[in-house]
Amino acid sequence: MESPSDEELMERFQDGDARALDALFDRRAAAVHGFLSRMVRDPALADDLLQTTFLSVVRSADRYQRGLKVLPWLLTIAGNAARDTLRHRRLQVEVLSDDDEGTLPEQGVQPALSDPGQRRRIEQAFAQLPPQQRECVILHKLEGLSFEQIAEMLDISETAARIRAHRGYERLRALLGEDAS
Amino acid sequence: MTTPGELPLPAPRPPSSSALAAARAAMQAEATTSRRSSWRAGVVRGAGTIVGLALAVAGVLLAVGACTLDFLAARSVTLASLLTVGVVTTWASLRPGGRVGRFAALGLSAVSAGLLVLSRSAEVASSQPEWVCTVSHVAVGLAPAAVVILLLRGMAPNRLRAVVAGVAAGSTGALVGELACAQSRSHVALFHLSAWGLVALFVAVVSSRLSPRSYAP
Repeated sequence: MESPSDEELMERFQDGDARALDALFDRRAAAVHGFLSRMVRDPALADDLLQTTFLSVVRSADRYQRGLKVLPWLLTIAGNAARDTLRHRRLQVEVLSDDDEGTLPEQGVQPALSDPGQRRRIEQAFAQLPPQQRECVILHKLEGLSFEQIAEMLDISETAARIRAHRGYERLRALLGEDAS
Repeated sequence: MTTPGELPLPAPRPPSSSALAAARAAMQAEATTSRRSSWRAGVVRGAGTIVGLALAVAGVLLAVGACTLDFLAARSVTLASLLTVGVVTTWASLRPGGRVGRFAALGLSAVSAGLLVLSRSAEVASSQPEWVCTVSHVAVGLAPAAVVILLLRGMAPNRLRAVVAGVAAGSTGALVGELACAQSRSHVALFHLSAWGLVALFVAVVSSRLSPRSYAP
């Protein structure tokens, strides 16, 4: 039998089926955690925000509009939680140490560079992006979302989403260029 | 050089099994104990507070003879526009998504505010100090402001959403102004609209400082 889609699971949860939420968690927790790890660059905080994200799903299940894709909706919640937490904590973005390297291949994530030095430079450049630009770059380049979807998620115009991502790419290019020279 | 277009970032560390277990346990506990909120019920509560308060004030004013049915009939257009603004802005501020709807609700509020000013005569004298209107409108707006602030905690913080909710709460004071004040155009522009703006600002500032219960859009 074909397994239910994310959207079907979310609709079943809205209708009161708690097991559907468990199944959705099993399927999407790692992807949400990966997005959060890149957003906040702090594994422990990403763990906390994963919990916050799924608590928000439970508390606001009625805010999910039937027909919407569930993963972008989950990432919207995760992004909102991450931005708000970063703002309140005034967290300084930190580069993950080598000890924190992971090996789980994720949907839409390209393979790691074999050169550790180059990989570290990219990580450092990425960590220097302002959170808003980093979020747009992650959502566009790594999660593969369109600017239209990103705009909807972040409650901004499509042009603003494009500008944020473009500035992020420009900044990365400048940082990596400086590094190379 | 690696171009950002390639962006070969390493995969992030996967969540530990203990982090997953903790998140799942918290989620399951919440699912069994928490009373789920409905944004539609929130709209009914928020708009109900605004409309109910305005009707209560109108009732009291009619009962004590401070206004008449003829006076209400003469102001029916502005009263209806303010009631519409109260309901529409509450809905626009609480519904999921709908950024365009929130801008439209703000536009409707601006039109209604213009109507309030233009519907008054140029000069009407009053024995009361003009700031009394501002103070009373802000005071009346505090109850709906508290209601919308609580409702806003059920969703992700968003400045535009908070301002629109504040405009909804502030419309209560503007309604009271239409029921109880007969002063001039400039008085309404300065002392009524400023109260409306203050309530909107109050809601935006207070809601931005509270931790939300949910980060859903």
